[in-house]
Amino acid sequence: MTILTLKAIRKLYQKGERSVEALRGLDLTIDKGEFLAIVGPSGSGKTTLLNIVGCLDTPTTGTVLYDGTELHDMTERELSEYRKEKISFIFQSYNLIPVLTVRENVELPLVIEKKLGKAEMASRAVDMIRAVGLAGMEDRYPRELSGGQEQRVAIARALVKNPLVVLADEPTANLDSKMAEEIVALMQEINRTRETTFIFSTHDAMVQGHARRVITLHDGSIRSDERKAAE
Amino acid sequence: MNTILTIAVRNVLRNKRRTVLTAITMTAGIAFFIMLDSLFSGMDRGAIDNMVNLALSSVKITTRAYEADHEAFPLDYGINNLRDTEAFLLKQKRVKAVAPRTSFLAQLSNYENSLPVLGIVVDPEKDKRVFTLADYTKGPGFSSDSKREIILGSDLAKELGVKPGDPITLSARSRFDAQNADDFTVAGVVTTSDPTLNKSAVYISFEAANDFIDLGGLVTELDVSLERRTNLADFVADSRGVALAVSTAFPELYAQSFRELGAGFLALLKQKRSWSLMIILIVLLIAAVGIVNTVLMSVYERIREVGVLRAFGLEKAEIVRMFLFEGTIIGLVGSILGVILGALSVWYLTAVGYPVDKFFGNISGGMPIWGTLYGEWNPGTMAFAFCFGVATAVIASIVPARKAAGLEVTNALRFV
Ligand SMILES: Nc1ncnc2c1ncn2[C@@H]1O[C@H](COP(=O)(O)OP(=O)(O)OP(=O)(O)O)[C@@H](O)[C@H]1O
Ligand SMILES: [Mg+2]
Repeated sequence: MTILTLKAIRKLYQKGERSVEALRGLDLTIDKGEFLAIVGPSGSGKTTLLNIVGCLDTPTTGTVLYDGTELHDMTERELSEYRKEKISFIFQSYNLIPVLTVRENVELPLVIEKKLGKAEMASRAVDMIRAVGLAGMEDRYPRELSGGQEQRVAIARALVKNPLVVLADEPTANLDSKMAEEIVALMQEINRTRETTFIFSTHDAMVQGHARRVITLHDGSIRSDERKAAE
Repeated sequence: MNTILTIAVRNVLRNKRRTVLTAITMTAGIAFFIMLDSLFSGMDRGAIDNMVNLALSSVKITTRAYEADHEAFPLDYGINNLRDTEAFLLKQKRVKAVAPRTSFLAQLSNYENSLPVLGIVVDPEKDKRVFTLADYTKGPGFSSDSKREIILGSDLAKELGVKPGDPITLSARSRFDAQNADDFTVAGVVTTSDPTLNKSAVYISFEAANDFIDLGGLVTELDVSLERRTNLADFVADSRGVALAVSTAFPELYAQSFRELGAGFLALLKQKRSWSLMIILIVLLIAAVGIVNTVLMSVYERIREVGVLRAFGLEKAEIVRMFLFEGTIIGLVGSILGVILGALSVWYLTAVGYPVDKFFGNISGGMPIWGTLYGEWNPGTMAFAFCFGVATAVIASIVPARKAAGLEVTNALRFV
């Protein structure tokens, strides 16, 4: 089932006099439950693409269709509303809120969503923390965790609201290879058990190796789109 | 509590030093304002007490006929049913004492010089219970036989070169318009904070006046003293109440409350209030700059955090609320501490007082005040300063808060 369609996406950045074309007419279809890596050299447009897919930014031209809904005409507020419901993020530098505990950080998307009661939010957060292997650390603050643990919390935070898509811009770039491996394995496991769609960018061949589909960008265009049969 | 507000609170707590430093300006400003206001009020109150105790009294009663012609100090319109009026007054709420007085124009001379004066006829016993002149009098004061005794203002005494015990001549028109002159002995010299009294007041007793100007017990004025009230407004209200009761019960009488008696001074007070308002405005402006700065710093430190919150769908209004709340907490801390510190200093000023003469010698800058200056409790000022402080903090936080909310999400996330 297709959940996301990009048609002829172009993105121009104005840099003083010059304009940079970060994406040059990109077409892409993504199905539910994919585990997709976006790779390519620095400056090839990976972050730009993820921002557009994540409704954080709008393309200069082209259309984005989510679940059949066209995002083109949406106001910033509507985009934010859409993000709140369907999209989650994992960041390279974890970006946990330093003054909130692990449990509070994981609860945060639910708090923003304002759909559930207090007890329900807490129990979901605790379940999610257990799922990423951090049971017992609920009341710790981010500064009391290792980088790998922080990224696990970030994954729990991204998944707690059961999003349609999780977007991760270089989620393992700040981790050593052992921790990176663990994090990808965790993402993969969640992808398998919950059928959550993951789209992540990476420079790391090992991480790329876990993906079932790899899109290679070059100069804002798709150079290759390879699928692997499920292991 | 809402998680967004929790974030705000914890950030304020995390940056304790910064919070305290920012709040301190506000604390100092508010405390200073409260203290100054208390001191001003105390100064004003001291001046009012002096006016009331030396010349004006709390309620002044004359007849309507007298009032129409009062500038001439006529001896034609006495208060008729003196006993009833006095009894009526003493029955009114918070009335402590009543004293009769009669004023007349006269000349005072030492055989060389002659000066125009205002004669004030008093009942020495009753007068003491309404006015505190005795506290400012040098000399023995009126004796039991006061027929030939006179008390005069210090400037007069100086000008005419007399001291207690010296003879002096007073001349005036009698009640029946005959010119009379008589020799008196100076029984006292009054030095007050009221220059008019010092320059022109001459006191003799009814006993003396009956003889000297054929007064025949004529009383042109009744002066009333009221229980002291902490709050000036309460005092004015009491005074108005008594004046109204008298005017209603005795239509021929003219009763002036302190609102009329002290009208000029009360108007001056209002003007001074606007000065202390200026002070709080300036100080809080400085505090506001501090808050803008601190909240702005807070925004810059947390640009990426703002990006994350927005990426997860938090609305702009909530981001604004978060930073507004931070500023508000700082304002609350500053204002609460300011009111506490202000209240402590007011407590000191009311209990211990501020020795004016010790600090300024005997010049009191034209204020009718000396000795120890006491502060006044003014809960209204404290409430006002508190609200003003918090409001300043909220308003000061608006600019940085909106700046945070206006950040582009993608830029905020890339920010290092
Ligand atoms: N906000 C911006 N303003 C101007 N130019 C931008 C902006 N963001 C990205 N670009 C430009 O667009 C191009 C693509 O950038 P992008 O960040 O998407 O690349 P990337 O593949 O994520 O690179 P990296 O691997 O270094 O993260 C680059 O040439 C970059 O300089
Ligand atoms: Mg990038």
